[in-house]
Amino acid sequence: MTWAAPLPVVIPIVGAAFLAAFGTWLPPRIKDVVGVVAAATSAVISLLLMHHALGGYVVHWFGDWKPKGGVAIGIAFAVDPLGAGAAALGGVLTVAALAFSWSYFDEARHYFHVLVLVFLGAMCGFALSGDLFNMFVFFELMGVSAYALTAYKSEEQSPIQGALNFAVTNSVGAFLILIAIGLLYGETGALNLAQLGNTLAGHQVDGLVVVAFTLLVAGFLVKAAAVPFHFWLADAHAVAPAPVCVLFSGIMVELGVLGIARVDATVFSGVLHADQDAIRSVLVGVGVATGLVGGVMALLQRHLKRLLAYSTICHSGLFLAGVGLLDPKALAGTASYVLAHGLLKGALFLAAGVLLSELHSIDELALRGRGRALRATGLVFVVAAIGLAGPPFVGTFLGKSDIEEAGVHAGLGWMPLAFTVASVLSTAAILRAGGRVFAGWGPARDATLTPLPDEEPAAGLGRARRWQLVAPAAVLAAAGLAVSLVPGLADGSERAADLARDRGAYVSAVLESRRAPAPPAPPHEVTASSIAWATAGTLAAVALAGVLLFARRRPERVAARPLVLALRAVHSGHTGQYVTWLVGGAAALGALFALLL
Amino acid sequence: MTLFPYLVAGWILLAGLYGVATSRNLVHLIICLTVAQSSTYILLLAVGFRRHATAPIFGDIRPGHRVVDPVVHALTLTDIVVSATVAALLLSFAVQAQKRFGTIDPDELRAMHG
Repeated sequence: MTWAAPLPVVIPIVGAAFLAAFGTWLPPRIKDVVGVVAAATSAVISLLLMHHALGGYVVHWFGDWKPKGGVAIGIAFAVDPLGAGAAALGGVLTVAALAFSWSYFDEARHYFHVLVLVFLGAMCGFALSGDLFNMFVFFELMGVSAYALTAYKSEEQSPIQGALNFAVTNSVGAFLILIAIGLLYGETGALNLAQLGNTLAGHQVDGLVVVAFTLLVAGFLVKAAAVPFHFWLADAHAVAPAPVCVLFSGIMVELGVLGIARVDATVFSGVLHADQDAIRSVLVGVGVATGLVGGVMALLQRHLKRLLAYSTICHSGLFLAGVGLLDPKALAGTASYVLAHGLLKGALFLAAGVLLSELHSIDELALRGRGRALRATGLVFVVAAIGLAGPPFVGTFLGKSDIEEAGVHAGLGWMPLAFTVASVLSTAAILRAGGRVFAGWGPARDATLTPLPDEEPAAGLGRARRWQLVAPAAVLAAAGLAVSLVPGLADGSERAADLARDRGAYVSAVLESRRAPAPPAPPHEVTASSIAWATAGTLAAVALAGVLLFARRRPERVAARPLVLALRAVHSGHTGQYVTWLVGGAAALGALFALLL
Repeated sequence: MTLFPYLVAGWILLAGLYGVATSRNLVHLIICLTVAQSSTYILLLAVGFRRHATAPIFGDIRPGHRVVDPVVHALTLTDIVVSATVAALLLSFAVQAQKRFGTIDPDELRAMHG
């Protein structure tokens, strides 16, 4: 099946080229159909590749330039089940986003479809590539199409600011990655991941390795929106059209985390073999900090998309902690967690899009009680939020409990508590918003919430038939809730993670074309303690949302707390400050690695 | 291999990032971003440089002649294309910012915070 490996990239790109060339003359419905068909085909092929890759890496050499004597000459796609799974998730979310935008926009100008398809192709390429420089190129292509999609409504003020912040910070992140690639190429003469790892494995851990590792991790952390690289994410999500947010939150951010997992496993796990404990501490620490900051910031928002964006930051931090444990079981958990989160967060963003389309506002306070008539949307919103909290055997439960158990196993006994607290904070914020908008609960004023800019609400939305908007959201929510119950998912993701963490299998598949199937996984068990944590977390999230809505508080005093003031002040919307944080964060990361490695 | 080009690349990167962080004008900010990116060209070319070698164009040189590493040239070209794309897109945002906000001072863009 190696011939099919490039198709998840090629099909959306060809579709995009077709629409770019002929879109002006095509009737709108044909454009929608071409977009959906291209994305769906890409998703189906990714799923087939994922299934096939469980039997070993699927390696495709472009132009048939195969390695000679164990030395890579050409450029390869090396497909593993995790990468193919990420590509498939991207395809599925793109189908949902395009189906939603079918009637969301008045008339989607044809370059909307073009940009979305290019974005999908770039994400698939990033997930499937076996070459570090190609990863960078796809990373940049993904970036450029995402910046343009963020500024899609460029007639308004805030999309311009959000897109600028997004583009500048992510470009700087890409520079860091490129510098690391240059340094690694100078040292090893290789760009192929397997070849790089092999050559480096014989090296001492010197300054160059540490600098290159730091720059790669920092660059990917910008995309993964880890503290203190996360500022762009809330700005971009607040202004991007709702269907685009589905892709940003559901898969793009997660690809940053996948990038870290990939380069650590293939390039650095050999040379930094003795230092995996230190790397684990740093990544898990950054991840948990991100989870908590995202959770607290979500509680302070009244702009619904911005609130959901901070929830994404919260969950992305937890993904990073899961990957950062550098353990197959935790990686497997992260994979199913990402899947459930992508579907559920997609449903939430689409529900927010329904509010924008039907009620012309995205402000929790202005919408108080006005969502009562939108019963189906409210149901989707609340159910998806609960799914994110992950009650036993629902939504994110499977992934989160696997990561927590792996953490406890690695000696981090506090991990279930940290995960539960972070997800309680962000879920409570979503539930509070849902209660206020769809049931009219809670006060009409709340000084703890960040005021919104005076701006006209989004114009140019189509007169949609409501069911056409609600249906994609409902399908995503239902699929997301069912993730923990899919038979074979726990087993399959564990086998996939074993394969992804095994550098030997990667090298022999890529350089010696010897496919080894993923090893069988031990039977998956759900422990009583993870059921207890999940139950407690869900109840706590509902209780906290209730407190926020019904308890008599003094919101002015909460808003004046130094922590709240400081958090608000650093999320300034100012590009220059974001870049300063980015450079400082990268320097701090480098200092940590220099001390520890 | 001399250290000099690497120091130059590092200096240009930091100068560009300083400009991005402190800029009061979006056009200036975007140019600073491309300055920062040009540090990566120097780094890549330095990595592939060989003394007394010529450009890797095999039309008119004898086989066996010493050439610099062609791979980094391909990388640099790709990098320049990426940089041009991003700069063009960002400059179009700056034009839109002037139209909508009436300013291109990043300190004056206050649609979003917190």
